[in-house]
Amino acid sequence: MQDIEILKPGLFTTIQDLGRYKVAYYAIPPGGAMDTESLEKANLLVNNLSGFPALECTLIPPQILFHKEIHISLTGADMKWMINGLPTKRYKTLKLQKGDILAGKPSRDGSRAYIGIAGSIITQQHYGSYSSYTYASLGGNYGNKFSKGDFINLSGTSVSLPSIKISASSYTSINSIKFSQGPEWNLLTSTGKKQLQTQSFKLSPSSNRMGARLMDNKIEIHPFEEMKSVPVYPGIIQLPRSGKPIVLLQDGQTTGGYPRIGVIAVEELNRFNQILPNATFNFVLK
Amino acid sequence: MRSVKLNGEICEVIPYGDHWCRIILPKDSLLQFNVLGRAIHTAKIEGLKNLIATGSEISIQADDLNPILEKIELIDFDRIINSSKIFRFPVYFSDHPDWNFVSEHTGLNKTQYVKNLLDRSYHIDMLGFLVGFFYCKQLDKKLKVPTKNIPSTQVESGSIAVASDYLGIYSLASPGGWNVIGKTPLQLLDFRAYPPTTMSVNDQLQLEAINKEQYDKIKSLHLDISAYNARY
Repeated sequence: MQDIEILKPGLFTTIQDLGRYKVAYYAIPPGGAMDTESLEKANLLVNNLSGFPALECTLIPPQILFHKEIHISLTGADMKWMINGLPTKRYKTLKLQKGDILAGKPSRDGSRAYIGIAGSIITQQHYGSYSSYTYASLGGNYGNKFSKGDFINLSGTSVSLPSIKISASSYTSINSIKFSQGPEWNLLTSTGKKQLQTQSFKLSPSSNRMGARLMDNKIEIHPFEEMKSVPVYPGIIQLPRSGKPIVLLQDGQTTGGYPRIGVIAVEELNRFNQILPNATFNFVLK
Repeated sequence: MRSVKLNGEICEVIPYGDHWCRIILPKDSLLQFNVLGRAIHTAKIEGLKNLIATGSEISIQADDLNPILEKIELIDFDRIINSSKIFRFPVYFSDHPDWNFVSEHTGLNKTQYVKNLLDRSYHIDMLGFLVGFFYCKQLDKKLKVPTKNIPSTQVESGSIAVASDYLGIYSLASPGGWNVIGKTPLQLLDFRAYPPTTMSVNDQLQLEAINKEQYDKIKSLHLDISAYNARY
């Protein structure tokens, strides 16, 4: 039952669904797809239920060999996907044959692509989620990102596939991200508040599923005493003493000691997580 | 709802992004938010998606927050506050290189430091910020040590470490800036279980010094803290 074989793992390919709840109390982050809208579209195209796990590919796509006939879908960032070397369409239901190889090219469009797979992936589940959380080895593929030679096994395939049309998203034009004021907003000086909304920021290449570091510009903040640890969650914009904001993401910590200057809402976080490393964008106050 | 009554005290409730709100510790209040957070968490309120409790704030996540806040007010906090457990907690005080800094800073050698450390028990104050990291308080003044200037890239799982007022337990291997003074042979986390740990906020740990042979023996038995306390 070795249905899908990873020939090349890509940069950071993991199994992701909509994440886990009720465990933040134990400092276990929600995890889940960085772009839930693209995950759900991938599921819809292969007639899966909402929240089924899919493969999340980051910047450099994996190369995958299929050992049986499988329906898949490709959503999210444009990774110039090819089947057996021939370009293929995204946002369509694709029928792959035994022996087909799916590959792509490093993305210049967005950061995350999703491979929807018809049927269920047989893999590890923790606290109601298959999402791989590599730090604590939770979720699918033994909580690891995929490596060369890993296999994915499936149970059942959907028989009747929908002929639905979903329009493709593009992310190259993401240049503004909406946010709302965070609890420590008023620790920012009036200059700092202006800076956050007028300066442009660049996404650091060191960003990962835990958090995104923002470069190039600093935000001015009033001197403050060491803060006690307070609750945080994905989408919170923190400001360390360096003045360079950090956005906490899906696998981020659940408490933190830096001022929480802003909050990025879920739909907007989907867009934020598609911004490419070194790309610039602005924050817009909601 | 702009406020919620926790154990008799009115606490302000402030929206915190979509589907989250923050319950704020009132000024000069003696409420222990970490313990109240445990009470709310263990009440298993339907619809409560997440709860994060720290000393000054309890944040909760739900699609509809108002009914959750109403149910929180009905919790019998006293019963849960008084239900904390006392555990014996074995530690092998190994010759970790961090002892140099600990001794230098406190002026106590390892034997003196451990003797003082075992003089009192420690309350679990908080879980987090890393998975399976337990903050326990509170260290005697003369045992206080600052965090390391340069954090270690890898702290072993099961490490017992000190920083500031706290004794810390690293359930998982991770980078860390606390000073490692020993390690426990206990299984601290089980991700196949819910909750993943049998140690809760406000439980008390009585440290027991064990030697290397005892450490290896207990380690080979894969005991969690409840099993260890039942057996030894």
